[in-house]
Amino acid sequence: MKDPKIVFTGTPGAGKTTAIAALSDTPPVTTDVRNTDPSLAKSHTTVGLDFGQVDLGDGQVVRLFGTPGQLRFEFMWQILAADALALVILIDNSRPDPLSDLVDYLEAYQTLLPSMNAVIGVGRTLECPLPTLDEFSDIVGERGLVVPVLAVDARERDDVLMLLDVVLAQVEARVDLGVEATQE
Amino acid sequence: MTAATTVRRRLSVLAQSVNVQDMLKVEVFLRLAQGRLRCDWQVSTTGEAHLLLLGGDEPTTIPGLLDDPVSQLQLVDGPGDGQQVLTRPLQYDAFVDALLAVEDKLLPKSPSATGRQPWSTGSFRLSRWPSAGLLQPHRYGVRLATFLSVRPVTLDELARLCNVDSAECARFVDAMGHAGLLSLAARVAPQSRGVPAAAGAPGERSVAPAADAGLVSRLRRTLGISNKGST
Repeated sequence: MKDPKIVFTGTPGAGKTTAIAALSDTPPVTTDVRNTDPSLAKSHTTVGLDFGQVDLGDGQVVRLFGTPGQLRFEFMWQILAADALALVILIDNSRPDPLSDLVDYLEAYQTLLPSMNAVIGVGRTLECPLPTLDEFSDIVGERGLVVPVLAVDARERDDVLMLLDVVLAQVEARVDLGVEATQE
Repeated sequence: MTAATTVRRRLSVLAQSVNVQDMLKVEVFLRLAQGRLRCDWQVSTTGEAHLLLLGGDEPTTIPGLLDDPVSQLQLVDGPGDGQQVLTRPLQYDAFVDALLAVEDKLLPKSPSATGRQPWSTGSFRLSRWPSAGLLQPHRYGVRLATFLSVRPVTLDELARLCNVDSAECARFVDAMGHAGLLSLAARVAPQSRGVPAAAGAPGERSVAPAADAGLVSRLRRTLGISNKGST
């Protein structure tokens, strides 16, 4: 059986690499290159994928993948998310149109999201309070989905753990239903 | 429904010692929140106050105010302590929730809000992710909402799944119900034996075949996330 994986996706600069680094037992493998996109306020950006892992201590590991954020790598997003235990979508609220960014990801994952353990983490909400988390939830709701939307700072390990806690709770809820089904 | 002909009550936010930036935010938030509010809210610096918003440290003096406001909130820069505080930068959800609380105090409750609630006996799930302001008052709000976002559950199931006291679950569910965020559901048909459960709607496929309760427990333990959540 393949080791389970958790996928971090989202806009460039939203903190995917940072989030994986906060969780991984080993230094994450990154494929960052020097950023040539003037709209991104950072020196390096991920063009391939990030990889880290959490060792559960019994020979099993949980793999952590980070997708490249740029829309031109959309073809990789679904490939990475297939069979994932959970999907973490990170949005940077300081970008010009974060709601539109979210729509890109909801559309890219539209076939997976209805049955996927997923959470949306919105970063930089203190500096940029608008759009509000409610507006993100509205957009999700318009698609008939209920996906948790939380404010996060990916540099804070506790915030990243909060996102993990949410998707693990979703797994627990689904697993429990399976257990009940076998008892009936 | 005669919503089109219903006259909305006018309520006021009286802003005192609130700086220009926060005043502008309040005005924008009031415009944005019209659809969520049951009353027409306006902001002023004198006159009647249903919600008194204090922006500075000056003693409370309210020009033209004879009656006590229904609610009073202090804008503070640091982390706020207590329910009478809003922290800067002013957050939309927290502000609107304060207005909703005032409306709840002033307006008569709807008939469905006065009797036994439908969610006290049946299965239910969230129809939409709640605002931060709705989650905040509940210690395990995010965790409870997460379970309710996946599939329909009864109140007892929710308490068991979340490992949270049933009275606390009931308070949370009640709040979600009154906010109109719960949808009652028929019980989900059991899945085939051994097949991992899918999402709320029957017939959906699971995309996490490797998931099991043991894996989640070990991952929680390794990362230091308790089964009552990190929040």
